[in-house]
Amino acid sequence: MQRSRYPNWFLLPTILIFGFLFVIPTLTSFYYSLTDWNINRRVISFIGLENFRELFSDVKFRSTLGNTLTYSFSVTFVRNFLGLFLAILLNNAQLKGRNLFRTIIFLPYVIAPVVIGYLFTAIYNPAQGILNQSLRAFGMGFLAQDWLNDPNIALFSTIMTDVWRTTGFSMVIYLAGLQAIPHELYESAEIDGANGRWKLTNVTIPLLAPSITINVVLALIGTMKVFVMILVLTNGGPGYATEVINTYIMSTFSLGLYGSGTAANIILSFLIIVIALPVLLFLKKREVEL
Amino acid sequence: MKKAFVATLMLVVIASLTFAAPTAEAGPKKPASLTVVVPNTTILDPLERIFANYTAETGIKVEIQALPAGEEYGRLLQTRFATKDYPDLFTMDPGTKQYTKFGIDRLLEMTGDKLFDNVLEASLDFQRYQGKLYGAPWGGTGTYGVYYNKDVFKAIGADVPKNYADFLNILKKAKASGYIPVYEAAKTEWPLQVFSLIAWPTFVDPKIGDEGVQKLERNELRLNQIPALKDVFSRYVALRDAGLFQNGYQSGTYDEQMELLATGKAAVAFQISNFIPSLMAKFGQDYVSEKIGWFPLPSDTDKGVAMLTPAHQILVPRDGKNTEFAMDLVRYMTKVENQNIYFEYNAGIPVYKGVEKKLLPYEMDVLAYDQAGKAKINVQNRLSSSFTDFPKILQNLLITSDVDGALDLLDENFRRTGKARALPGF
Repeated sequence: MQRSRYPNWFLLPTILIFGFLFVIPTLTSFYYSLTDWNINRRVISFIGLENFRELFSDVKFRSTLGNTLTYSFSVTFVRNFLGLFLAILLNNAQLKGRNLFRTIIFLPYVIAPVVIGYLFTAIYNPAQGILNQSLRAFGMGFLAQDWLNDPNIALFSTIMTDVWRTTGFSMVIYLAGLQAIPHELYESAEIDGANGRWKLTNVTIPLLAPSITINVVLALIGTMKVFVMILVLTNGGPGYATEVINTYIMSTFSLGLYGSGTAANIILSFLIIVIALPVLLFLKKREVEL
Repeated sequence: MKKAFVATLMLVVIASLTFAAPTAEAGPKKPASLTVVVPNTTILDPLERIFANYTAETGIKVEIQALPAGEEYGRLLQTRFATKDYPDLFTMDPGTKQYTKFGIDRLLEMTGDKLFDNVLEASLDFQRYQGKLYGAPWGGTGTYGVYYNKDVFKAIGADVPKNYADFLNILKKAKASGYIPVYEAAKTEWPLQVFSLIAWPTFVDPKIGDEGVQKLERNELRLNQIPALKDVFSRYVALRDAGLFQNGYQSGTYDEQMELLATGKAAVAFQISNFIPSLMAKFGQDYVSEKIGWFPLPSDTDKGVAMLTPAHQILVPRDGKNTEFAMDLVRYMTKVENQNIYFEYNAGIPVYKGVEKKLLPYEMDVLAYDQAGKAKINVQNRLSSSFTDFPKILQNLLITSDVDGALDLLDENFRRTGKARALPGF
């Protein structure tokens, strides 16, 4: 019989802290989402699914669902595509200064999102912003836009800002994955006469599957919870053009409608599980053992 | 030994009761300081002067806490109420909706206090909730309206419009002469609501009357069932469609709006009178008096009805630590001499009798409308629920041009807020 190294009661402090700070608040939030709890009421009453019914009948909330999904899928796809492309490019041992390039691309990820938000508010300024000024300087003034105030492109602008911030993170995970692929596999493929494209689709991508799983799932979860970037860049505007679930939750809480805000939070958690879990299982299935 | 102990104990009890008695008769203990919460847009100089005098007289210091203004201000204070972190007193927008926001059982009732003897009765009419007063007027009566640059109007040969068609013609003439007809601060959001609110007394009140507003108050009338309000939203979109807003109005800011109106690049701005002190601080009182005029939104047949914003109010949390002293400070702040100090720095028409205030030209115009019975209090101050998220709804209206959609959202938010505040009928 094998004895454990430490007695089980050593886990007690962790369980207590985790229970008090995570499990109990999570469970109580389910209860509060079913109540009329708001800043004006001192007695909280159980109202069943009324908050959820109100949320789904709210045009504004429904549009936040669409914006959140558009934001999440777009950022996830673009940042993974670019991250993979850059990782393959910067994995080349022949490339001079590749460490410098890796650092430069990763750098935005270590800057606080709120700082990046303010930075891009200046960059996107229609008159003095460097983006429009550069476009005009290169004779492409016809492409100059009011990036954050035009409802047709404001969401796109926030998406591109997040892509710029997070691509470096995806790239680093892909680089780690690439470096774990044995070089002999490429040599064997070359001996068999494989070209670059064949090696990419039949060696690199399949063996990078664990990195793809991590990158895609993390990106999906993170972007569905987007908040700071939207708040700083557009505050959900103009109108409701860039309103996402978390900014909606914030404004609901700001109005003192705690029960309703908690219900919206439950919906967000449910949405994340419903989307991220099947994606995780699907990608896991496609992973190849080395 | 036991007897001696009991005798000593009784002696101690009697002695402590004897010494405690005078303190109890003297009332609550004088606090070292009082906390006054104001929005951070408040001009602090007059308050600092008034409080310095109060400290000199009473020995009680007054600490000013300036919280972020706008909707955020009310929310922060509500949070402080919810956590029982009460300030001693705070200033607030006027109207009974503030009472319902905080809960009347959590506010100190001021009905019958001697300070109200000196208040003009009309300014209290809208402020009584179930016949009771919970706030003391603070500041002066202001107005929302169409503020215009007199030089621009002179250059295009325009005068205060006689009716709405005339108003549109003036704007078109301004545009033809190279001026921005209307500068809208859509990016700043809150100024967008001014048009609809100044249009209410001119277009909506005459149709639904005070009874209509009372029905809204009782949730017996829906905002999206008022054709006159739909007409107001449609007129707003039509102004935009006619190209009468500045180019790129979605990026328009409050600061630029003030600047361009004052310097004569924009003909008009839909604004609130609170922006006048800011303009005076930047351009001087004489410049503002000379250059900036005001008129209400005209109706189809006449010059329209002025919209008045009542004086703000001072509220005292009932469960605050120093309610008696807080109330004493309220009485001090509202004394005539201290109101005089207030008006050295602020615009508005005084609501306390005997206050000396030289009215600005636009304020004389407002007063003339009021005295002629052609003025109404801002509808938002007549209702206990709120037009929640109004600026964003209007920003969205300008994007989608969906008038019905905007009305539905406004109505939904109004009823949702009324329900959350547990107002009767909601």
